[in-house]
Amino acid sequence: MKKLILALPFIIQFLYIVQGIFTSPFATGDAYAIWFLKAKILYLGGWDGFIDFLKNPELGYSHPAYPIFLPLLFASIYKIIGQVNETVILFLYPLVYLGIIFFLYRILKKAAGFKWAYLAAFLWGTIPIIERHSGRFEAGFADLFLAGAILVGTFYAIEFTKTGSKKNLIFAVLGLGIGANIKFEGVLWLLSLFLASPFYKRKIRVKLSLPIFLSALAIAPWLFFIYKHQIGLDYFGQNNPIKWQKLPIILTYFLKEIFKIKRWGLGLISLFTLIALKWRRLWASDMSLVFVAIVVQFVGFGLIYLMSPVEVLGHLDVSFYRLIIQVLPLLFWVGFKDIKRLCYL
Amino acid sequence: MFKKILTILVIFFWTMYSLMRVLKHGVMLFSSWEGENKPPAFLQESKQYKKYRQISSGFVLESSEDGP
Repeated sequence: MKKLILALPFIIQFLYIVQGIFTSPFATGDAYAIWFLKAKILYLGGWDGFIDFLKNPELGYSHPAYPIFLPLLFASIYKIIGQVNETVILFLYPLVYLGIIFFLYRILKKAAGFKWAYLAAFLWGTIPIIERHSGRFEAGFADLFLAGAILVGTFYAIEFTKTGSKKNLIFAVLGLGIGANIKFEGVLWLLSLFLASPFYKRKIRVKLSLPIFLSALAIAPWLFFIYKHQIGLDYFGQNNPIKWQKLPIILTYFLKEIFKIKRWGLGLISLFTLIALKWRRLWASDMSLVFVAIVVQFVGFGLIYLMSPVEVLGHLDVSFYRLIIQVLPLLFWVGFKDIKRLCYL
Repeated sequence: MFKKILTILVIFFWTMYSLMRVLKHGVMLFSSWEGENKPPAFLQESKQYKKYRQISSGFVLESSEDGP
């Protein structure tokens, strides 16, 4: 009975999200323009049709250079069920949502105990934008998949630095490698982890480079493919000087984002407050590595926008909050790991 | 002490806010099963959506009617 009561909020949330798949307008432009479109082409046209599609300038909005793990996954499901069926794909999103909840609970239970692990998983699962991306209105993006992949990969990569176990290395490469093949932010995450590693102990730094290197190899075939077929990265032109005048816009946008209650509920304000409160303890733990990597990720993302010829404000509005979604489970891990000691509960 | 009190307050209000949302969602489970998962009108009018629906077999390098 106690277990059922504890599971009840998660059951309600899961059913609410699944209900959304049937009853909410499916409003994700990216699904039709990128992920579902590429999956449909792969399923209907095969690899040759897909290459033609990538080279078609009329369909440049589909971001041809984006990695193709998700379209391949969706097309494989179409192949198994024998038809293009978007609703079946939409059901993957609540499953990924549940998967992240379970994984976050599992890694925090060891580090912070049942109470805090349960609370952290619950609080992550009730953030409005996470519900939307999991099935209500905005399912169809790639960010929830990427959030799950880099959470799993980063956790096992850090475990590998401590234990040296082959099992941890395999899961680390699977998570980080799949992440790199979902979106380029996954590749940026590999770079961020690598750049953050000097902030941590030397022994760990050396060990961490192995899963990072192997995961980077996982994206190499796709990078070679787009190079061979001359598919350009659409955020860059030929000459990309850094436009520093965009910097205040990006920083202001970031600060404003934290206070967007409609999108994040009390989630971001509270989480950043918790991290600020345990600031000193953070630097004494392996969470410093994850936190610095998250900061580097944002700096890297900001630099891309400083260099990109695209109009910054319009693009930030549709893509910046998704970067936060991608690293949010990691931020919860950072925020809740040592919280027991902070409030002595 | 200050940190402890502030941490507890932050977590308390955050948890209460989230619990209220879950309660609201619980009520919605019993009340609203109407609606469809069709894209809203603005998306149905978009070039991307039209193109997506247009593709029904294979892929042909032809210009669509709605154009680039």
